[in-house]
Amino acid sequence: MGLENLLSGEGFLTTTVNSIVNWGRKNALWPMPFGTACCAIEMMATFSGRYDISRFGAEVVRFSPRQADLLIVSGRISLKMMPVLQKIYRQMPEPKWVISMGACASCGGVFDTYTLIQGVDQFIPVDVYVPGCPPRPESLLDAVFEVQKLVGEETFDSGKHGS
Amino acid sequence: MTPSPASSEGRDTPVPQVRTLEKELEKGWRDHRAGVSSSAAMKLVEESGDGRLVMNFGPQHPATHGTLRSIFTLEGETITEADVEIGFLHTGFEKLGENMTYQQWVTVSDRMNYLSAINNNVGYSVAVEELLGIDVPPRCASLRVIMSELSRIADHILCVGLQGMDLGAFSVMLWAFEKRELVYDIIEAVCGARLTTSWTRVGGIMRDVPEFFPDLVYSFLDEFPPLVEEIHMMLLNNKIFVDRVKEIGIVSKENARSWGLSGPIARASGLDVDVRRDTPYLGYDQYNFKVPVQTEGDSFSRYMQRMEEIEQSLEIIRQAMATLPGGPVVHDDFKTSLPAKDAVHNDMESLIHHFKLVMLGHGIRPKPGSSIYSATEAPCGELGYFINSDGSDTAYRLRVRPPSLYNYAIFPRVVEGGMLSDAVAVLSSFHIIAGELDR
Amino acid sequence: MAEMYPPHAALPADLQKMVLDTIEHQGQTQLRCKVPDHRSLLVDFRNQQGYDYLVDVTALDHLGKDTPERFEIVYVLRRLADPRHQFRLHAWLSESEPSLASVVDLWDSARWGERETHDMFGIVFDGNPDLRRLLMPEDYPAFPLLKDYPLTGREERRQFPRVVPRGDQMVEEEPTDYPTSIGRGMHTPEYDEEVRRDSKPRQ
Repeated sequence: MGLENLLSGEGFLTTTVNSIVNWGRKNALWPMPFGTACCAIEMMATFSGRYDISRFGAEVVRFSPRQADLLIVSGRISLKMMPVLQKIYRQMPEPKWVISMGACASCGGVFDTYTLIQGVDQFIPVDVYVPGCPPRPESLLDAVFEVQKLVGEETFDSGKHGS
Repeated sequence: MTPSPASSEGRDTPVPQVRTLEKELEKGWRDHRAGVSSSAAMKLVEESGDGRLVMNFGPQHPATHGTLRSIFTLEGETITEADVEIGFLHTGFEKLGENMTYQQWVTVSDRMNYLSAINNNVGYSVAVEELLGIDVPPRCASLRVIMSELSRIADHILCVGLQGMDLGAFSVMLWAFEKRELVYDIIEAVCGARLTTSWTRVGGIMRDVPEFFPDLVYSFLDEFPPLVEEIHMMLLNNKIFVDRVKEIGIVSKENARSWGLSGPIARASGLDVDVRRDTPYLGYDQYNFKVPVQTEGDSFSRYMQRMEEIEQSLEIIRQAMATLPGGPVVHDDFKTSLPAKDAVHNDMESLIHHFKLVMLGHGIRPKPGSSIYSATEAPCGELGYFINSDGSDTAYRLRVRPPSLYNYAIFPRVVEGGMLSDAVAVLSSFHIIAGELDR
Repeated sequence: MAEMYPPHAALPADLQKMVLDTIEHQGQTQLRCKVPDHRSLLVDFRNQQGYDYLVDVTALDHLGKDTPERFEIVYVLRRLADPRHQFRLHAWLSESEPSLASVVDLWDSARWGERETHDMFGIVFDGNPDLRRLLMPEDYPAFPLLKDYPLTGREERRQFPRVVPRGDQMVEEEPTDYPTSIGRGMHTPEYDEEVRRDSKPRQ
């Protein structure tokens, strides 16, 4: 199907191409902010002047899921919002990573109520969790570093096709 | 008990049944992909014959401030019908209020209007104190006023920044966020957290401010006001911005009164309401501040209203800092307020008071059957708390009257007849905060 | 805060009889009535006495308590010309027939106030042109703020599939078995096996 099938294995050419592709991907992550509540404000602060996320390459904030590869779920996800989140997640093309920012997205947070999803990882796969209520912008930057590390470990046969 | 279905009685046009339309559209898209021709959307277009389109301005969109969903029926670019759907952030705060004690719920309150968390905390504590019939010491009142006004400035400047960003002036948003960080520095030094502060307690505040608090506030008062001038210079001389907001989204004074609007939106329409002046709390009657009121009620006057309110808030902060008294910051009745920690560790009586306040089943117990409605002026409008108590340590009913709910109810009426891009301008000037709207 | 003064003193005699009692607490006045009477009282307050601002509409559920009826509808009214003239009207509503007349024609702010009260309690307001659910999904099977509805709900929040990419497809599976925390009685749940979370990419 693709070039990656011809380049299977751990040959020298594969790993070099791999590392170049990963280097390019991780230093140019395009985040898609799925901001609902208080964490969205801290996320906006991370994208703004003082805690500048564009220093680390994630400057191009795309509000269309078709053009993004990093979904940052920030804020509490309620019953009504979950199908929307799943739809957005499905619409993002591979390869994609998900940061679950804040306590509410990771585990339901302060609110154990009838309408709040107790952690989005029950319903979509999450790569990095950021604790905090809301996490400081530095924590979100740390999460982006974690995602960059994960991106750096990707190989062609790791299942994230679509390269 | 069966709920009545969505009723179209009394309306000329039927209530758009949102979910079924979505399913039809999805089915139509699948049919379309499978080669079957007539989809629901095409049917709408064919039947109406005049090219009307139902468009979803969904809960995930860069220009909806929070999770607000609008469904517009468009004819070209003009909106003929508008409907809104909210509830995407509903968390059950009111039900939590029935399960958490009075002291515990303050942590929940700052997740409502997350741009100005302190105003929510202050509003809630004022309500519970009114229910119990206690007064806070003057120093606590002044500090609460100062922090509330700082928080109000942060909220208004963010609203103005987002209003600029939605209309294309991205620099305004970056400048606004930069100066907002100054407010966050002060809030962090006082409360410990930037955003979700949980600062007030019933009968007082968490702890007294640090010694360098006056330096922080005075340096903020020096650094912040130039931003107001810069934003005015940036936006008022920009013909595009002015044309996009002038005479757009007009809310008349009569509608503002009838629909229960409050806050900057109501004052921009000429309705002279301000809870701080009308029913003063926390000593607001000793400060000399004006309540600006505009007359036109369009998005431009809402912008000007917020900028003028920022200046009035700066004035209140100056006066409050000049007259800040000394003294305790917590009401000295141990039936409601926690004793100081070193007293708790050393003194048996304080330990017992602490135990009784903190343990479940004891704690703060208002008179059974008493209820109160108490309102404070949040940046969005009148934030009211209706608390009903049954004598136990949790409220029996904790109702939050969010200003954004009543402010947003008028939004479909305002955008009908306008253009789609004006809907964006109107929504950003309304400054609806979904956390408060949905609770 | 709103001061004490009697809003019911200016009512005509036949409407005064509808007011069951008045309660003053901390300087706030509260009038009580029963449900079909609330409409005439509100019409009088709006038209004759000039209460032109409806601040809020809400309800209370007195399940299991010794009250005349189960539901109590609360209207908070204010006169803008003199904002200290603010009071609340509480109307008793029975459980067997939880519907009452709407006041949308008097104040437009009642549209969404009543809609939310309907959403949370199931109370029907006759005459409200748009009584859909406001905050909960349209097909939600319960009314959340009723006292017999538990805080954590009845498992409605887990009724979604889990969306995972598998190979070429996006696959829907059962949601992961997540140990949810418990409310006020804070205790540690028991796990059958150790729940491990690691940060490896999914396979």
